[in-house]
Amino acid sequence: MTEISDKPGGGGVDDGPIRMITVWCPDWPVTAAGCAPDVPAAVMRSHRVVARTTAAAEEGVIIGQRRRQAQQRCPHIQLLDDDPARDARAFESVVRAVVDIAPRVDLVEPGWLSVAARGPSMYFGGDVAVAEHLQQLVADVVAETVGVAPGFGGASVGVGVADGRFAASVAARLGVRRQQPVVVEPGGSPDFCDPLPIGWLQALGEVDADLVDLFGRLGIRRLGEFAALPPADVLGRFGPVGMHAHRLAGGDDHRPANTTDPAPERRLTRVLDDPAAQTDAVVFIAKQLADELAGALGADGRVCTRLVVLLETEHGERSERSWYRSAGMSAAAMVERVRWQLDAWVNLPRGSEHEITGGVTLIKLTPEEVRADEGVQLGLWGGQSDADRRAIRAISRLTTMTSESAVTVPVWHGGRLPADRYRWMPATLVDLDQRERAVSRHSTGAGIDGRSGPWPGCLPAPSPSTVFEEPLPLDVLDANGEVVRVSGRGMVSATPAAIRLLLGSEAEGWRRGKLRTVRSWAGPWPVDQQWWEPEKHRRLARFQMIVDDDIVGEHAHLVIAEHQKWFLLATYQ
Amino acid sequence: MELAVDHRTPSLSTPLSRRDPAKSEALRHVLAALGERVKPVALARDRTMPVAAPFDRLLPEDGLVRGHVMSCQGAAATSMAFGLVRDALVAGAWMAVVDVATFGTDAAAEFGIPLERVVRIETGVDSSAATDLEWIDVMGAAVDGFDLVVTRVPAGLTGDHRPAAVRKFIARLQQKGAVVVVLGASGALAADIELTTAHTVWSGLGDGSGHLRQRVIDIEASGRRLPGARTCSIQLVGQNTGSESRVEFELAPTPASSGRDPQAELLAEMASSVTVTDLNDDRRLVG
Repeated sequence: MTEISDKPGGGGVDDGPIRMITVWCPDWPVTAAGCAPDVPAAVMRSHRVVARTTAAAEEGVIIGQRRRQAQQRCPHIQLLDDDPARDARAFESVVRAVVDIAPRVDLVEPGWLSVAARGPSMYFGGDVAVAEHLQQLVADVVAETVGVAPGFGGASVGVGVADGRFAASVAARLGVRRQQPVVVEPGGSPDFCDPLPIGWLQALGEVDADLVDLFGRLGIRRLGEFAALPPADVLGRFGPVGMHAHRLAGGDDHRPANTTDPAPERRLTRVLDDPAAQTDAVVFIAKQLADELAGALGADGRVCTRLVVLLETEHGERSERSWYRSAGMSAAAMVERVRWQLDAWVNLPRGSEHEITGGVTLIKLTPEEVRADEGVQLGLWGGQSDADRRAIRAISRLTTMTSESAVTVPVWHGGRLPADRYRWMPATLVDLDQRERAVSRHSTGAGIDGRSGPWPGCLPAPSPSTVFEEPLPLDVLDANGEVVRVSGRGMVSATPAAIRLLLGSEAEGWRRGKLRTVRSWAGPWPVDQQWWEPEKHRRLARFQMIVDDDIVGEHAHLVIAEHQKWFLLATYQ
Repeated sequence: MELAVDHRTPSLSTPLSRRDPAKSEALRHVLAALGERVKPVALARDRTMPVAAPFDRLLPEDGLVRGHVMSCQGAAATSMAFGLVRDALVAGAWMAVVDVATFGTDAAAEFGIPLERVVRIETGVDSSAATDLEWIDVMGAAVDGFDLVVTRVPAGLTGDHRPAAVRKFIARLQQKGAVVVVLGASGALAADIELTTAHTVWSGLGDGSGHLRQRVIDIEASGRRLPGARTCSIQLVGQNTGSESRVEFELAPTPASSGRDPQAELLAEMASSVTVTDLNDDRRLVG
């Protein structure tokens, strides 16, 4: 509650909502994927469009459309996979730009942030001035993200200033359409909200579609009509959710009275004696803190809606972000936000100002905004199914039976070798409710140029279905029984004629396996990756080989040569 | 008053025989149909999970029967397992992968398996950090929560000997209605149906050129729940369009001059009149 606590007497806080500036980048997922607005492209989640570029919108592609309909409207559209982690990473540059003028930024989701208006507005001399400045600033960053010259192509950014987060967010969205910031006069939020359609409540994720639909059927079409209803009747008929909507509709986005400052002991800090250099290690510790925090809040029947995550390294670099989620955050959701923040930080370009250079020594989670937990009503259709709940229960049971690191789920990581492409994350560290969109992606995410995504040089499908954890050493021999060598320029010394697996281990000496004839082969496909990081640098050549097998006919293998040694990486089983 | 009315309505208590014979006949019919519907027997075909197109013809009831143990063996064991579980997972089931450290995640995604419902569990049997009994315990917990469990049987249980814990596990599996897919020999789990790759042929790879593109696998299904062996050739084709890569499977077109033994085929056809006859059915090929 920084905004509240630091401005007692700063313009009627006690009798009105806080004045907020909201910045809204429409269709952020396509921007994050690096699509310029003049290229028709769309991001899909579960076969539905969730974001599209201006060019695609002009062709008639709309949000929520099915893949097929979108392709029908616009046959040359580029369809991209959804990746929340990419969205969060790309948004980091916008956040850093805004932080320079307003220190405390509330991230609602990638593409959508709010700041308290008071400080910046006094500095820049008025709401209009600060809004125009912010719009210019963010538009330049966005233009840079998609790789067009600043000011060209009109990267659209909406900025809105109003009393309360809801009104400001609506204003920001209207600002996109009007191409200029929308500033609502202080105290003007009720009048501003009055003529707006009731659907805005759903568009901003404050209430679900069913309730808005119900309002429509009851004849309530405008926010003003809803706000005019007596609050007691609204509470009686629609419960706490309806009350919340009623408050927002009336332009009174003062968070409810049970939004209280957390007690000081709720700020959980962990100082690490041993700096953690691995992302996983930090996330593990964050998991412990998040469990503790969510447990403590849950015991009071409360849930955290805004969480400030502070990370500090041994060299004193800091990363502080405030994460907002109106539905409240479970422990898993908190951990996921720590992971996004850490990923964005680690992936900053070399030489940038806030670059991370050392291990993390301090993790601090502060629940800035807490409200009463009203619980979540499970949907009858869609949402979490019975199978999902059974599986999630079984996962926690299995975790206690084995160990935390033994029960894992796949997370897209990316890479050119089969073993690199997915990482297996402990299931307890992943928000299983949100997995469908958050964790899993199709194997080869596509880039805008239509090649096999951000990993050019991957081997085409089919991929090997058996991937060895530890590559198996083997000999590849030519027709004379000599070991085949691959030169630094990617040339083979002779045609591979046979392979022989080496069994056993280095300590007890290799035993030679059976000699098998190579029927056909292809390669070498060289990979020289991460040459800029000495300890991660790999240089190798890949081969596909089909070898004879007396029983089943033939086996296909993926074989690599690295540092003059041959390894069997995977088998196409 | 109403109680008295109840007592004074003799027509309700008259036996069936004294009423209109046509009516009582119809009533008996309805009762028989009702009895058929409410009897507490679930047929195997009612307890199945869907299986993708060419694989279904290998199985009894055209699907994965709940409570069964399947075993996939041979050079294309993992691909067959992926093909078997794909449709059930797409329909919303969850899959546990127990002790399969070599699980090819990329390949699974290419088959269309939704990875968000795949969970991997390592019991540590292979590294001898755990015993076979712990593996059984984990399997028991897995079939509680997951509809599909893919696993490898640990070395200690590959024999025919069936410890009591395994028998208990099988009973639990049948009660919970999960399906276990074993990669390799099923050993003590005693598979109900075994799928074996008899033969596999790759194409696309030349002598120093090309890349693996497609393969034809000949699958033989047998087992104690399958009357007679069934065979089927399935073609797996890697598709690389601009944005995604996937593997499509379809019935392999039967080459005119295949090197098969026609007599053996005829015998197989007689053994199972269900599948082999429609191998050449054009309608099925198109579908």
